[in-house]
Amino acid sequence: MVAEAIPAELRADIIIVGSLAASYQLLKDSTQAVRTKDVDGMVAPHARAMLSATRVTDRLLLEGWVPQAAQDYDLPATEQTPDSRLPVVRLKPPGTDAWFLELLGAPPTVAKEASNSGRGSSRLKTRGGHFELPSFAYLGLVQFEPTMSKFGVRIALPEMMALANLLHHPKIGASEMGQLFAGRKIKRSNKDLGRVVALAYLVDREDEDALETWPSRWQKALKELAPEQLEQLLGRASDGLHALLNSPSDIEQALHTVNNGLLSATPLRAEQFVIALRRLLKALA
Amino acid sequence: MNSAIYAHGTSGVPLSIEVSVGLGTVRDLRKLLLDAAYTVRGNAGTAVVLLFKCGFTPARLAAELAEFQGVVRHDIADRVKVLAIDTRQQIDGVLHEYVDANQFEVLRGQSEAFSVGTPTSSSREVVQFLLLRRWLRGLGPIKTADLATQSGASSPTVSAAIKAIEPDVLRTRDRQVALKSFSPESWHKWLTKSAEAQTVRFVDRSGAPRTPEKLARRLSALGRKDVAIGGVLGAMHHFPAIDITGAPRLDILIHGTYHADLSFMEEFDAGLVRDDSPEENARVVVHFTNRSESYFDIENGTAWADVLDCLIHMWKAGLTHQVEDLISYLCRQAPPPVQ
Repeated sequence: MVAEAIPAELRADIIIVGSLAASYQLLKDSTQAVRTKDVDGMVAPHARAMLSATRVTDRLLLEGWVPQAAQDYDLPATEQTPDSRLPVVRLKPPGTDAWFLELLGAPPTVAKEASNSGRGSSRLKTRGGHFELPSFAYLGLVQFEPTMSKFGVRIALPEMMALANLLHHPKIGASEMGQLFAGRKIKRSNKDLGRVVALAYLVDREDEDALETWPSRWQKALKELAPEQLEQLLGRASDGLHALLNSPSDIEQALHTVNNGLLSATPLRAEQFVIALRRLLKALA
Repeated sequence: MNSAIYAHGTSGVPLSIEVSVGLGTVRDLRKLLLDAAYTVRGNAGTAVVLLFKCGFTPARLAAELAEFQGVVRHDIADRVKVLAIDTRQQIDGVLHEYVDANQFEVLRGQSEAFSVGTPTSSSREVVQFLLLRRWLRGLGPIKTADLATQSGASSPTVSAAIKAIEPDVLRTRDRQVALKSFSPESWHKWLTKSAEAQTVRFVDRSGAPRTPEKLARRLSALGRKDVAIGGVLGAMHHFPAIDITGAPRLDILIHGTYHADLSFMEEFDAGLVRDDSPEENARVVVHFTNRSESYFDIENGTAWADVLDCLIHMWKAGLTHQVEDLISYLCRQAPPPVQ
């Protein structure tokens, strides 16, 4: 549905990331597929991101896609709208409320140090008004060897989404998500690190040797995308997972997010979640 | 060091008796209590923990038990009984309370044996293992004194072991012995008796269990020369042509006693948790041999249990047909004995 909705000539500029990408890569059984309304598409590469994002937005608006309003943001936004009130590009296809496409931009470079910060922002000027194109310091790593789906859109690899999340959370940050997650306030770190554990669990369930290939895949990706920071970033990739392992309350939050998200069809017990976490750490050691 | 006994209690419910000797740390006590809690979690049974030579004062022990009862569900904690034992009469009192009269003598003997660390392996079976191994390899007769040395058994035990399989034994004029055959009955008895030795079982709690092959590769990577791969995987290694498909679990054999250090299992796979209750489907079963020689084959850094040990593991796992097939195969392959 997503691929069909995006005009063919624009598909090459978008890499699907997030829960839909994870679901496509790892939940082949349709009864297990995660039900997500939020389809995250990263516009890449960075050099063309602004241009491509503008093209994609203009084209979709022209075809009747509808921008989604969010509280605290102006829609439509104009030249006078301050950056802090710019809405992100979140477009609902015509004739359905089932899902919407949200655009992210590829960051210019991979950040030098693993860190909780690293959110970038660019003002996008489209025919439908001004928008924000956010980017995240490590999300650019998903540009490494994405899978070309049979529908003609590229899908991020699980291990690269995991690495991006891990580098973004070298510790459990205090910042909470803006919206409730399945009825609860959740730390963003716990949601993202929980996602990493869920990805690892699913990958491992499909192929018990696969996790052991992650370090070499990460090395190859960083060598290509951030050769100067390779050692430093790889050396800290597991820090957030160790922090999570040592904090039962954060594990509980992370488990809540995965059991109400990626693993909702096959929820884990806390013991199983910790085992998946330990197995991942062992594979990365 | 700890040993476990499984039996039926006075009302027919499962009873597990854990015997611990020289317990001295809170960590070990808590582990023992949690193990007992896991054991009774899935059934209506009782776990009795007998602490011999325990280093805790009665007050400290009581405080730890109160802590345990505070963190474990009452319906489970109430079925874990812990007693510090100082005299034989105390064992009798405990067993009378929890054990059927017809099991009393056996369980008391086992409890007492464990409390002093008595080896549990049967020396007779070790003697017969050596004779079988020589026979299958076409080796000639051996002096009974050498059998005693190699098996670590006393002369009377060697004599009794030989007498038990007398029809299968060839005696030479110079008082050496060898097997000339091994009847199906002898195989059955030897396997059954050998399989009675105590094991430690690990179950998977991950929901995504590792395959035995993967676990075997992990074990191999540890490079331990005193821990061998046995069971179906071991048999398949020795005889790739035999018709056994798919190992149901990983059997490993430790050259040491039941009280050997198993902490390496924690590094093995995070999903494995010790659970000796027979109801649970074990993913890894640890066997022990306290023979003086391990008879392990070391190949490219991996230790493999002798095929006779593999047979014992498979017999214990209930793979009767596979064991019979393998025995037939071994007997066909065996070279004629050297006279």
